Amino acid sequence: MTRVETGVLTPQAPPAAAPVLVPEDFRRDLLAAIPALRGFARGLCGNRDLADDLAQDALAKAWAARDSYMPGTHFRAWLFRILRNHYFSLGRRAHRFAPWDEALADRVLVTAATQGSGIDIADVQRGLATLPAEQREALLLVSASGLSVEEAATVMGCAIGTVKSRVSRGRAALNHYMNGATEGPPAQIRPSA
Amino acid sequence: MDAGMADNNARREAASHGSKPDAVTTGLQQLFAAIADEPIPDDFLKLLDEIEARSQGTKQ
Repeated sequence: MTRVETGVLTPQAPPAAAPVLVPEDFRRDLLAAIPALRGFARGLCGNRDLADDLAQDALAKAWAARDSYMPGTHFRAWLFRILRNHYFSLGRRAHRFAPWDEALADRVLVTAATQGSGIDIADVQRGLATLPAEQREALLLVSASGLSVEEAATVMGCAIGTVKSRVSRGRAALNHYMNGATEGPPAQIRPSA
Repeated sequence: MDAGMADNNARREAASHGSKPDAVTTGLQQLFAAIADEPIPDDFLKLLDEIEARSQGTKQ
């Protein structure tokens, strides 16, 4: 209550309440984010089945942690952060990650070979696999999924300048690969951070 | 997101930097779009149903 000059007590505006998270809305948002989550996971690990496992784990973790999500903040970025933390945590525990399966990648990506632009998408994915994990992650977040550099920095837990640098170095390396580098992808796609 | 939309996104990103979309950006966006265009596997939908049912069971 606030006392004003007239001496009359007038009701004070209540403090802004935190937005309420409705479970149905949360489920709907999770469902809508699945394609992006699968894309990010596949770009990170380069293996369709493993990526889908990662994305499903991330969904389960997101559901379990739904009370920690602040409605109104960037939902996809929040999910990406959960997924990448899980990916790197698995990598640290296993000390290795899935081997690059070229035959599988070609089979999976064959229907989307060029999409009319003259760019071989399978080649892009093979090139991504040659990059250090942190550059691959930065490129996927900023260049592929359309997050801002600031949002990507939040997802990756690093400084904005670091994201810019990783994007720049990753882009140069991928460009080099796509323009005829002869090296094949590494035998393993290993999270390095 | 289809390939056309990926191309548009690449052009928009390039325009914001005052440059033409490069092959890397276009390729990455098309890779993402190709995966996004795949039907969502049933496993994902089942998982959402299961965790939702489980969380409702816990509350009751």
